[in-house]
Amino acid sequence: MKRLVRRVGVYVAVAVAALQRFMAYRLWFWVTLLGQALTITLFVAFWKAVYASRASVGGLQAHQTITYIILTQLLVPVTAWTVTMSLGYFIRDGSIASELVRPFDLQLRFYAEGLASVAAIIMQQAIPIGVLAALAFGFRLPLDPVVWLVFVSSFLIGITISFFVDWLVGCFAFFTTEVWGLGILRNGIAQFFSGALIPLVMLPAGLRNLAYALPFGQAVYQPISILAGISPISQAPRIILVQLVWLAVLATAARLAFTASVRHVTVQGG
Amino acid sequence: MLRYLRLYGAFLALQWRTMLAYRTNFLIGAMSTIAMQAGGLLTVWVVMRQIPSLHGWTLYQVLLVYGLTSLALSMGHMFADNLWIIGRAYIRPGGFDRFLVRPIDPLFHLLADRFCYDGIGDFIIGGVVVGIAAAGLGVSWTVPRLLYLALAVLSGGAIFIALNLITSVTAFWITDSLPVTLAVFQTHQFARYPLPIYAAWIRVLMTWIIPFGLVSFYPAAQLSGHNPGFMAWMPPLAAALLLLAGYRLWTIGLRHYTGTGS
Repeated sequence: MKRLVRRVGVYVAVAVAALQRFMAYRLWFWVTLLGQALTITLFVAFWKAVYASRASVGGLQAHQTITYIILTQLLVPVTAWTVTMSLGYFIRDGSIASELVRPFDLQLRFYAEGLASVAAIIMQQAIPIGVLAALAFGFRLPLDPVVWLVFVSSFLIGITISFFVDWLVGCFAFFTTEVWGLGILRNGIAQFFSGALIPLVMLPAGLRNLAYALPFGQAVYQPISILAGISPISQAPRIILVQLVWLAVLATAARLAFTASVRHVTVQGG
Repeated sequence: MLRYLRLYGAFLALQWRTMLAYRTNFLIGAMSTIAMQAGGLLTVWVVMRQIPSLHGWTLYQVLLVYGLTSLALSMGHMFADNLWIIGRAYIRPGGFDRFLVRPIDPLFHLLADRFCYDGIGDFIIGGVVVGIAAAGLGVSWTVPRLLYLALAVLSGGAIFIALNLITSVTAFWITDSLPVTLAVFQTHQFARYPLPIYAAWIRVLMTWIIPFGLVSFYPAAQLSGHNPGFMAWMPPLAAALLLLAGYRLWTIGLRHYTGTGS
């Protein structure tokens, strides 16, 4: 009898542990949503306070900036790929060696995984939080299908550019073990120069040119400024063309950097 | 007390040697925290150049609020970062039990087990921003003012640590407390800007319920001549109360703790 109790007890403990893991996962989901709602509330409050004293700041009206900032906060999690960290940890713990011998392209595999998470984040976070934000702050989106078409194309090219940037940063893990810091460093720089905090057009000339010379704005500022009505639709061909050039350059660079780094690989500890 | 200080020194020396072995990692860690803050600061600077004030708060006053938040945050980041990972790095793998058999306070042991060098970046940037803001405002650093600043930063740090302690105690029940800690911690973002820009419910929340507003807004008001009255002295009071409550909850949690293996 005692043995039976103990045996059942083991499985109860296993079940409780599984339940705890599941709860932790759910909890993460809600905390992420809460965090996003919080940043949107904060940014809207900040920009409303900025526009309290004048109608136009940096050539933009309040409704343009506030729509823009809400959209960036909804979509930034989508553009922040986890490639830097996952590739980094692959390299750090040495499992990259076994990944490299598999009969498929490692980069494409990461890209496919990433696209799936993009879709998941849009459905699970961006849309529900977007609806809430629309109810709370009353931002409005354009109805013109051409604007949406340009936005979607520009956004897809943009997140692909962002993927290659992250891949390049991830390759640094061949040279340092501080993968987490590397990811945070990239996020810190990208956060500002992607236009996630402020429409790039508002920046003073020096900073603005620097931002345009970096790839980060291609995934955030360029597509979202079209949807928020900051960039007129007449600029669409030029924006997309510039994005395609970035895409070609970075895709090549990412390939080359990876092959060069792999040759350098000594894998931690041997 | 003295014994614990000496012990902390010993722990610190040990980690210093580990850090020296991974110098690049240290640099990247410090740079990354600076980069995270630089974006927010640049935004404030760019925007405030174009408008006279943010609900009556000028550029340098806003910077003072921002910098004080970073200074207080850096205290928790440097000295109490292990509270974040008590669940996943100590309780789940079973390493926490090690603390229970040592002849020192388990909470002290947990905190002393890691000095987080990344926090130094927060401290530097906070110090520089407060310095620039004070210079811009023409604040002369008299002895009472410096003492008030030190008190404000220490109280602010204690508020960060106490709130993280309170949320991390949930680890004794749910093992991974990280999402709970993050949920409360992330509201500190509100404290980076002057409270008057927010709706009333956020002001109340940040002053009386999750009092991150106390770490920066009221001390900045006191230092920059906005005269917050007795609220200038709320930070040390709240810090003491929260630390006491946190430690009490910690002992309750510890009594409940049975280890993950049994």
